Amino acid sequence: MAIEPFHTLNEMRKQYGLKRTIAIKLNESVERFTAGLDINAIRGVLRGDPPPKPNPRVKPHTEGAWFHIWPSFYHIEVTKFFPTFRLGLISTALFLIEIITGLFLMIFYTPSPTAAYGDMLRILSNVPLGMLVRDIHRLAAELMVLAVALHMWRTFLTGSYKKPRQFTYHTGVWLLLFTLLLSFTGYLLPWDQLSLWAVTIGASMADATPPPEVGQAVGLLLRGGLDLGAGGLLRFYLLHVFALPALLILFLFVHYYKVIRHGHSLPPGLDAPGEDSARKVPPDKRVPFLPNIATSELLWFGVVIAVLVVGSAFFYDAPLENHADPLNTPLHTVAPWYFLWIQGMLKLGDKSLWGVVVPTILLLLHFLLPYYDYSPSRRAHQRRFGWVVSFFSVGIIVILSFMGTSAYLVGGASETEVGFEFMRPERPGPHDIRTVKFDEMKPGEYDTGALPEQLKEESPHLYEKLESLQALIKIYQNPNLRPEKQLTNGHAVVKIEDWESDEKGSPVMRKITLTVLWDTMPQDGQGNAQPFVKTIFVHRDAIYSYE
Amino acid sequence: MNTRIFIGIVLFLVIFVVLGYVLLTEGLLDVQAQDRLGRMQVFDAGYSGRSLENGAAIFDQYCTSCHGTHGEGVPGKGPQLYPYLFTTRFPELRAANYPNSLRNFIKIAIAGGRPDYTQYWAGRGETYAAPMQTWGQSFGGPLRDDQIEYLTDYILSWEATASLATSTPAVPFEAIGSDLAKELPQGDAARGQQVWDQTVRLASGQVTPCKSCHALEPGSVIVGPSLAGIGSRAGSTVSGQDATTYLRHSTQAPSEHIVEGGNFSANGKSLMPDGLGDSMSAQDLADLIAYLLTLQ
Repeated sequence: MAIEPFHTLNEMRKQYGLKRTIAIKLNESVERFTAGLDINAIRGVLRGDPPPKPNPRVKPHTEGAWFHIWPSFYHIEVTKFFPTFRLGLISTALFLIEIITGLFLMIFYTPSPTAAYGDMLRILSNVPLGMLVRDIHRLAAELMVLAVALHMWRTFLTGSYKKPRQFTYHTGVWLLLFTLLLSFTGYLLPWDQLSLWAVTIGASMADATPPPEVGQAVGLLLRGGLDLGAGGLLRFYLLHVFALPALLILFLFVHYYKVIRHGHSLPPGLDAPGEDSARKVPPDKRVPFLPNIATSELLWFGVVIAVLVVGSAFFYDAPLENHADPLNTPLHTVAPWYFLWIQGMLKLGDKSLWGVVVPTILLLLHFLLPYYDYSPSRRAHQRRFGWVVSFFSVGIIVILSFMGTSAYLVGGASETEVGFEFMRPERPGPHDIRTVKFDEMKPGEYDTGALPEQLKEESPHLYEKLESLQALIKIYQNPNLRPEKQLTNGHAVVKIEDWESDEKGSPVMRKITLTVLWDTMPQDGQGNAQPFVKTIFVHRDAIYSYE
Repeated sequence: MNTRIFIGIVLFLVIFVVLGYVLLTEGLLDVQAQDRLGRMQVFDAGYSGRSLENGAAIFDQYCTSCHGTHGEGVPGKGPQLYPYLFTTRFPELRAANYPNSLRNFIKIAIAGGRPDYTQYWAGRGETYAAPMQTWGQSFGGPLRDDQIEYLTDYILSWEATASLATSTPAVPFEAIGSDLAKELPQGDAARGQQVWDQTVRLASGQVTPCKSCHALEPGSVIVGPSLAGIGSRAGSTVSGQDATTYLRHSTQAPSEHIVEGGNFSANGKSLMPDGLGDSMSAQDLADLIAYLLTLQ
């Protein structure tokens, strides 16, 4: 409505009366906030009215800051679940959740080796919703890596990186890189054994950058010292909470804005090869952003949040191992899962070649993909080569990731492996003695070569675990193994002692000593056989994150 | 649109019901905290269990050689922690207005070590080969702050049972006391030397403080006379007493005969304390005498 300019509010009130003046002013304020939608227009949106002409609902897109990065309408074909799977939207939702939960965690966290782990304990035991928020942050981080990677793969399969969206794709690769680095830098922050050693492996790759002088400098720059310590933790923290999120947000806006410039790519079958009609959407195919797309995206946000909240509350616990110990390398340390393929490649040979040069080349190939793949068609049957390469690569990454795990080509001495499986230092595995309930660990000395039959009845779980220990040893009696790997006639003696008791005299802690004996044990200077001995203490109340 | 509104409401409810559920079961309420029902308390208990496991492992690795596997102490190397620290040492400190908690006392001792050999355990008359070293990384030792926390947790966990441990003596024994008539068994000079060196304990669980006052070098006087060559002169010092009898009387009734040529008495009473026999069995005394007789 047209309103004559008034010099003062009072003049306005004299002409229209108080009620109408307030209504007009309120309307103006709302319009300012929504960048163009007055109260009536908002009610129209919420009621689902058809848009009036001229359509005020496109105003927020042209005049507002936030809506500026969304198109004012989508093609109806890209609002369906296929072919986008909503992966880009889900990635954005996860990123926003990471920011919110990350800010929450930041309040309680100090990036210092002497304080960080204590802060983690405090978050878990003393901060309202602390455990839940940490679980969500961790779970969302893992899912974000997955979502971004799948989003990129989908983009490849539908050929959406092709002209005119080369640059959109290019920024997307940057976003993937930042996502990986964000996840990786965050990995270190709890400062437990898991984080320290996984990141040590990853960061040691920086040392392998050729030539050696550069590698050394890069390593020093990243870690702030020869090893990860106070300097490294602070650097990783600043990268994690400031530098990388800032870069990611910058690139995210470019990535989003490019979609407005070029439109969402239509499903490949709808466009003739080499043509792109995303910008010429016929009016009957248009789906307005307000309200249709906006509500749909809000719902997807809700789904993501609900999955995270329910998942973290009932099904997922972010691991927290023991305090980081730079002097004590756990057996079988692995990189975070999304870098396992690099760890797998490292087992192929030279560290510089497989750890730095090849990943860098692969990254460059991705960055430049739209610029060297100039075939116009986006249709699968005309891109058979690309599809084969793509699936082949994913297969190779899966294989390399498997090779990166400790199951492949890593093996300490056999007896050490047996000891590791039976008494893991951090998270008990399937063969671990600690999976037996405390009350069932009957004190005594048990030889796995000759287990007493009555134990089976008195303490079946302990019996089962001791049997599986003998089975573990048996694995190393395979004649195909190298002689030094063989535990010929191997058996183990497990001694369980009551170690501490409470004031009522009931045991609260037990000491468990594992002694592995076999025919070809190493000998000391006097010719005495040296069995493998390992000791742990088990407390009645101890809970590990696997539980 | 109606479907979306419905799904939206359902999602909203799911999210907030779960958030509410987590908040309510987390252990913020006093009832839950007391009964250790909340997630936070469960984590706390589970973590303190892990902490004690870590502490036990560190104790096993670093502490047992001087303080014994369960803190019972190793003669000549390190004092008893369990139960002496809880039943005697710390109450004494408290009585002397020591301004810190037991927890801090333990932490300070581990992290900063001890400045000298005897001061802190002087009441037991034990001496040790070396003072406790500094274990904390802040003082150049090998243990990080968190490891010292675990260790302190572990040692403190003994407090609950410490008072029970003293109410029943670990080793029941019959003290020889001042009974000069009881027949002594055959002495073992080798064990006697260990008793002297404080590497084995007396039957009472204490160590004998002889060497705090008596030197074995000729002419050297700490408090009492040197015992160099005592084996050859003991039999001729007091008429009517053979060497064994003389040494026995000197130990169980020190004021009976006071060595001349030195400042060894006050008001006609020997400086050597009475009641040394109260901590010894007949065997302890016999072994000690057998050892002294070998000092020619």
